[in-house]
Amino acid sequence: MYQTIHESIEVAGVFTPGKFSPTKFRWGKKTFAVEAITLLSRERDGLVPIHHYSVVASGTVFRLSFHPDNLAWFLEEVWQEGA
Amino acid sequence: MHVDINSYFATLLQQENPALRGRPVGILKDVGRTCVIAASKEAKKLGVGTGTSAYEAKRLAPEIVFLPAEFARYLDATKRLKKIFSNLVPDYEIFSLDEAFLNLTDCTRLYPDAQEFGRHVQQLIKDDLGEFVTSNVGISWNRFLAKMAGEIAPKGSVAEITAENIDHYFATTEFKDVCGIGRRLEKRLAHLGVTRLYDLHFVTDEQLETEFGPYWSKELRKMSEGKEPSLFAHHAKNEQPKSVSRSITGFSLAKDEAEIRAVMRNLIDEVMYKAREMQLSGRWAAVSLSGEGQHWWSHQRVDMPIRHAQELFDILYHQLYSQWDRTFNVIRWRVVLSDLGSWETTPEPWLPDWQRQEKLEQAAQELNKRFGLFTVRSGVLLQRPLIRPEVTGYLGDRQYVLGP
Repeated sequence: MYQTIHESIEVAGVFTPGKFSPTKFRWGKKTFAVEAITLLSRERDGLVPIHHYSVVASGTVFRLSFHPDNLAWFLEEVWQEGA
Repeated sequence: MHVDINSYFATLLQQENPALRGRPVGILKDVGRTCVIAASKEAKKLGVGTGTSAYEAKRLAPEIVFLPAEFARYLDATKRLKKIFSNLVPDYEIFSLDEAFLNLTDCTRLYPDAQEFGRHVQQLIKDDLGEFVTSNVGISWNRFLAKMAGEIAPKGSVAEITAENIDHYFATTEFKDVCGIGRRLEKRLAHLGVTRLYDLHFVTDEQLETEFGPYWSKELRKMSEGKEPSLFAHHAKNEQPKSVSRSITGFSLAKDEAEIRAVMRNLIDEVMYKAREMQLSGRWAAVSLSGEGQHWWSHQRVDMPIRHAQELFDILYHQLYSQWDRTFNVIRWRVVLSDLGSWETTPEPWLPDWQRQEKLEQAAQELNKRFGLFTVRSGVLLQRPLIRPEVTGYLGDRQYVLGP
């Protein structure tokens, strides 16, 4: 199951026209290298959309979100097998 | 051409999480729910399907992984599918959350080989949504047949119904794979010895009319001749919705009057927000409640179209619900605003109270549009968990969520 985290994180990545690809992120003191971006989605409730990135790092799935209104990144959830 | 994403709800979550690929996955509406609303192809192979209880699913597939539905992700993926289709053909139709029709009639010079084009579409979907997202493509000369071809094709493949093979398809396809024939109709057909579309050739029009009445006899005849039944016309694009409704099933029976009122108000606010976004008002309102194996409903038709959440709440709660001598505790709510008409064709009342309310609703609508639904909400909903909008597979509110 996905465990809810909702903690602020730092993210580094690559911008190409119309697209951002996270390459690594820091959660607490640990840095995770993104091995794959498995799903992108955009959620709109209000004028400012929230961008969701599901990424594989250290062998598990992390759900990240980017909030453009305050340029904030969050680690929303992490997959934990058997939880 | 009919395009259908395989096991959409589950496949997208398997695409997201490689650890789930190849495993049976059951999608529940929310954490704590007990009914599977969608299953992965692996779960389907083990007998788990839509409507299977979580308990039964666990018995059929002990390794099954249950996940809550991610409606926002599904809807976003559908919007991306819409974008793919709009880049390919001028005439396409989103039929449900995971299905679309592409009209290739005017594109035969651009796409001379329909099957090759189908494989191209499948690849574009994979490129956009992910490698694990497979789709079925069905091709024929109308939507009814294209959908049938897609339904029975092996997962991830392209199939075509042609004049040469149509009899084979009609003689072998089960009714569960025929759009327009539900279980009740299937049972009634079985009484006539009809278990496949092809069998209808041996039933006369008179027999059909005697058994099914004037409407269904003609629909069935159309299907047996490979023509589109009327339901496809009802899905025509840009058709103004006839009603807006919202229902919810609670986690447990509601005994508390304040809870019943708050849920009703919550659903009403969502219904009215959607209606107002589409600039529609309604003349017919209904509320229905269920629980403890019982059901109650009431409705009212009004002369002046309902355009405000407060008006709808006054009718459904203060007028209709308050007259009911509550005989059971409630677990399911449904509110409906129907007989919708455009604001453009509906005269606006000049009553000062109505005008004042209109200004309030306009302001609330604008704030909610800018900052998110329920940012401004009735005091009835304060200090209560909010029920957020969700999409259904059928995508009955496609005009609202996807736009024209």
